[in-house]
Amino acid sequence: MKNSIKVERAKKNWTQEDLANRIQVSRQTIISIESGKFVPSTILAMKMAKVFKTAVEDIFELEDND
Amino acid sequence: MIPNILIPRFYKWIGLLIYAAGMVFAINYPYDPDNVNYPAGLFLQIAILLGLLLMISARLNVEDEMTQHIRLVSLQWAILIYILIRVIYKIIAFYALDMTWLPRHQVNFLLLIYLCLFYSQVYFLPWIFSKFSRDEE
Repeated sequence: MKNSIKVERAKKNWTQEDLANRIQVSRQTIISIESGKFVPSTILAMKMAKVFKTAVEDIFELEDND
Repeated sequence: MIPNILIPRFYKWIGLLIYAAGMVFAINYPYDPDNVNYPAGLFLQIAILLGLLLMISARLNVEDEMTQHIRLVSLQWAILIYILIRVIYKIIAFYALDMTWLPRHQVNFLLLIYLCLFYSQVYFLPWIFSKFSRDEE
């Protein structure tokens, strides 16, 4: 699954730590999600969409092999 | 270990103390530490298991779904590694005709493998990656 968290963060000028604090996870979790090593749950994906004020499908996108 | 029944963080250090004390006592114990016929042997086993249990059940600074995922994956790998080690030791015992090779401290060893895997993934590996990654922010 692809994601555009890094782009969304850049738009808001947030660091990984800022985003982590906003959705109450560790910075390591954000790093893992951004790099695609960890796929978040629906709840966490929706929390991200909420803080970015966008839709979940704008942040996360299925790839062909998913 | 089970996300719903994690205990406060400081129990990790209490667990480490109990485990270390148990191990020091076990090393200096003149009899077989696995023999629970003696009160000291039983006390020793309980202390070591309790220490490990406290360490694996202690909450992390930030508990989120990724740490839960790491806990689960660490446990799965720990079981696999534990089985492999047991099989290897049994094969050695079989071919060497030496039963002292048979694995002991069974649950302790499984919990130790789990602890090593879990904490390496939570602290050590991210630290290594951050050292070599220029893409920090």
